[in-house]
Amino acid sequence: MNDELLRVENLKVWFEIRKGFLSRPMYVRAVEDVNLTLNKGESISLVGESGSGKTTLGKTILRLYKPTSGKIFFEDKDITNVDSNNIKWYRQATGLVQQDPFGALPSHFNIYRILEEPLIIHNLGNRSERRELIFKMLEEVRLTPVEDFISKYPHMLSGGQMQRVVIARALITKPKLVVADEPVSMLDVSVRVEVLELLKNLQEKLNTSLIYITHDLATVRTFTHWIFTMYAGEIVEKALTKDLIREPFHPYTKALLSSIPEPDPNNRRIIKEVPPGEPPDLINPPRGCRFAPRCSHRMDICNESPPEVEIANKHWVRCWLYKR
Amino acid sequence: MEEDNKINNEVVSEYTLRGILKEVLSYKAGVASLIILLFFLGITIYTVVAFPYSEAIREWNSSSAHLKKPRNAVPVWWGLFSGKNLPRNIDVTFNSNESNPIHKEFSFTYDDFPTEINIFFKAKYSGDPPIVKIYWEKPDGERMLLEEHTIRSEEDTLYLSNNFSLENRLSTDIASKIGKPIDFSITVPRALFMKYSDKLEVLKGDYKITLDTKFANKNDSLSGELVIYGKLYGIAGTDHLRRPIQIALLWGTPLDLSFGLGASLSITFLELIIASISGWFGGITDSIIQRLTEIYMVLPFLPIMIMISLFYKLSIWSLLFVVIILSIFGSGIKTTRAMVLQVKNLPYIEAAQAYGASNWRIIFLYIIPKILPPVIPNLVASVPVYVFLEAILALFGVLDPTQPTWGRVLEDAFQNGALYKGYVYWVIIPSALLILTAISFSLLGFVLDRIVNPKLKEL
Amino acid sequence: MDEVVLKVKDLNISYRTKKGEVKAVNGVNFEVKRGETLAIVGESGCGKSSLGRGLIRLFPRNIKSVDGEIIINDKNILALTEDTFRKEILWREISMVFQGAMNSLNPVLKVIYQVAEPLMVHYGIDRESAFKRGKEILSLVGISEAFAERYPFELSGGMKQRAVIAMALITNPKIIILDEPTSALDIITQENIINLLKALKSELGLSFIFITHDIALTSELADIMAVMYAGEIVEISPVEEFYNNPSHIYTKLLLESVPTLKEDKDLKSIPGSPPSLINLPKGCRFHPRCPFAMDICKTKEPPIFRVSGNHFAKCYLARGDKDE
Repeated sequence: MNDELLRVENLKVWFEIRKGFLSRPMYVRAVEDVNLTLNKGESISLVGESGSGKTTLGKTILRLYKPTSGKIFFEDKDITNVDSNNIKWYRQATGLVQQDPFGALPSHFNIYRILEEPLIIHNLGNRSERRELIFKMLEEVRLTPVEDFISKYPHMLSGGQMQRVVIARALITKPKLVVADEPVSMLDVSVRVEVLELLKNLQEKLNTSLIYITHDLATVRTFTHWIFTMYAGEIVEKALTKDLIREPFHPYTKALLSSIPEPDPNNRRIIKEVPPGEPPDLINPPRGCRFAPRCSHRMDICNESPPEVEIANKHWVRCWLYKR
Repeated sequence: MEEDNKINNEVVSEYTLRGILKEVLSYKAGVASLIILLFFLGITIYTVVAFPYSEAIREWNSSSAHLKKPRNAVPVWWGLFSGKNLPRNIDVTFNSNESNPIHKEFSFTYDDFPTEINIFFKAKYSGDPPIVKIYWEKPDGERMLLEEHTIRSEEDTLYLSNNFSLENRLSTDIASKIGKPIDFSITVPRALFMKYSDKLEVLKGDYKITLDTKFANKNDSLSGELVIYGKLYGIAGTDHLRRPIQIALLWGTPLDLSFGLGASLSITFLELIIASISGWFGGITDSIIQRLTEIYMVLPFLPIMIMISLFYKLSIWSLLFVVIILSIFGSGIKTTRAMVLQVKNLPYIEAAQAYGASNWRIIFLYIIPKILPPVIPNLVASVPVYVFLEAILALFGVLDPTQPTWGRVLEDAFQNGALYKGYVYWVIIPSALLILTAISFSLLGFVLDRIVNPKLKEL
Repeated sequence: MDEVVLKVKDLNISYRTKKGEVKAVNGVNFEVKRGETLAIVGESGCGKSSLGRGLIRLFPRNIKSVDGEIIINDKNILALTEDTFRKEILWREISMVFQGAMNSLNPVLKVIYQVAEPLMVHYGIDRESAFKRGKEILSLVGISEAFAERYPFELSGGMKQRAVIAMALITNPKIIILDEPTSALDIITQENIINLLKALKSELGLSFIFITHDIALTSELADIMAVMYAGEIVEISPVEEFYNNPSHIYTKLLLESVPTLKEDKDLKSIPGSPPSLINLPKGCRFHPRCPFAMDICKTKEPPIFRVSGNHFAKCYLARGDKDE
């Protein structure tokens, strides 16, 4: 039995922008040449900074954006170009958890209604069956006593509680794949752990695959099987979580890891070496390796796009340093 | 971030009906507007219950229903302002089975003269008609023979006050009785009720009218009604056709208000839907709708309405339909569309797409409920705009004259020179109702705006 | 250098709102010496931003009362007239970098103008000299002359934040308040800014008050750590003591909820949410969420206990801690 759930091949997502009505169109090259596979029940962290394309990639996988080129296969079905009339089954099979819990919930629906919507849309059960599913889901995300919560409106809940509702809503159709885009970055620090743990437990319980998008590497430690780091629209390194953290190869991944603040009082006496500058403009990205302008190991050959190299078992890097 | 949300949450009010009602009542303007609206509601309920529509239309349009009411009479309460005790109608009926001659007495203690005096006869005869002698006796004992009248048909009306010969006879007679020069003219009603002095004064007291009938055949009979027309009638007076204006004002309330509400509601909701479609689908649909809107905004509304009325006399309901059609692509679409474009980018819309909501579901269940609250104050405040529109169109002669509405009353008043002739009440009372409507809905709209847009509270 | 640059005594700040009096800051005491960095850590709603802004007398329209003393240069700046404060203290002795400051740069003015403005306004220096000094400061923070002549929209996020720091530096204040200076920035850019602040600290002997929710980040700069909860400073201590011997239960729980990459921690979150500043709980403000709350915690507000040397905590359990 093929365990593969998702396969992305050579995915490009470019957004067209026009400066004027008659001028030539320009493109924001948000995602460039991405390849990845995800098996059932597996979880990936997609780590990168703003502008890295991680959110665009996640949402394109959910077909909220249309790929410019390349292919996306879900359970061996080609969903790259499927149109809105034929995509409803995919919506049921996938879920999205967004960053802003307050914005992600419609303020004019109460909690019960919010959770009922996906069930109604996909015709999952009659009225009493839906009620059961909603009650169960609220218990799973530990919003109890359930009766108290179902008639509340989003603005009556705290940030953490709202995010649990968002998670409940994403999981209520028992999806096979969930994309969580920075699910805790707008929550208080003391609440983040809870919500992440919840997400992880539910993911394991339902055997759902998870793509966890974040810029905060520290949260990733035990959360997902894989870490993929993204820079300027490209995936630059892929490895099992423990491997990547123990031994990162790509200069960008190394810089990312060393930039994570650790609570160590000695830090204030050290100045860490950090790549200068900022991520490139994606309308005119540098040719070849997009990290090269900031990289201290820059070579001439970096003007060409580096290929993906399998540097160790289940560990890939996209860097000329390792292509020998 | 969360800190801001927490503060905002305490400002967001609960959008339940009770909650909104409570907030409205916390404003004085809100209380005032609700009182006026309850007043209108009360009138509507009373009118609909006590005075069925078909009956009202019949009465409004019949020429015979009001024969016994005074023409251009002033409202009863209005009479209080004149200081004088103005006369009301007096009806004296006599039956056929009363023995001949019939004497009837009535008292007249008003300060002013009646406007008309008519006798309505109902006769039964075969062959030659009866002949009636009419005697008039004043409180001071003076008795005079007014007329010897031959009945002309089974239903015959004797217009005593319009009788020129009677008027001439009486005025020469009285002028000589007074002896001194007089500066007023003597009409029949004045003649029959006045004191003989050089000042025009009513002779108050008990009056007697005697009808002495000569029947040609034994089985002939005569009955009838003497109507002495006063100057006061009802709560709103009467118009040139003797119709009590209150019919049109009472029925005008539900008609005009439902016109205003209907127009406002329909136009707002249709605009909401069209703007949402335009904003959500974007692309060519959006372009077409926007261009259509721009064309509409340029078209002159009123001249088109008048053109249409040249071909068709519009009833209030077809007028409503036409107004709606001519308004839905108005400027409201532009502002609503701007709101839609903002809401479109909110995360929960994206979430809805992610769990499979269809475009129409998103428009009706996710977008429209969100942009509805800011739209409601405007909806409320524009009701009087459409009510006034009806009145204006009536003045232009666009409307069907058989429907009793406030605009209709104003049009009749205008056509009959009401202000020129001094029939001020004819104009003021319907205008007052229009203004009350404007005040109540505008105040309510203002209060709702304060509630729905909390940031305005700080102004 | 033991010179005290800023001393706060019993500071209380309250706001008037429709629902009641918001007691945003209560009984805050601390002092900052020359060249020292005080970090104030807390979650949303703890009052740290109100405190930060209060230190430069920036109060909102609905301010109800301000008590206590803020002493700079031996003067209580709260007692000064508006005029004197503005002429002698504001932006001369103390300045501030606001949260989201990069979004509050004036989009229609060139960067160099905005940076030089405080000199022209507060010191009446002529435009040419002010611009010259401005460019010096900008290069100190790493913005080249070319970018100084640009408009804010042409700068990246990191550069905008540097520009705002330059604005706070240009009048040579002794102490700068930084309110979440890096929260909107990418991790590597954040590290770059922190390196800059470290350099400014050592080269110019600047004192900082660093307000943030990111506990791990504070260790990069802080000499003294203060934890704020529900408007109060519940613990204050030198940074080494802080990580090695946190005394207030809230501090302990907070540290346990922060994920780190290096350590394999069992993360725990704190149940519940911070109290409303209008209806504060009786006794210790943290007791509703505290797993160790005793009877006395619920009724009597704990006094400030000295744990050791310069380490203070407002918790009945702080004292017994060292014996364990």
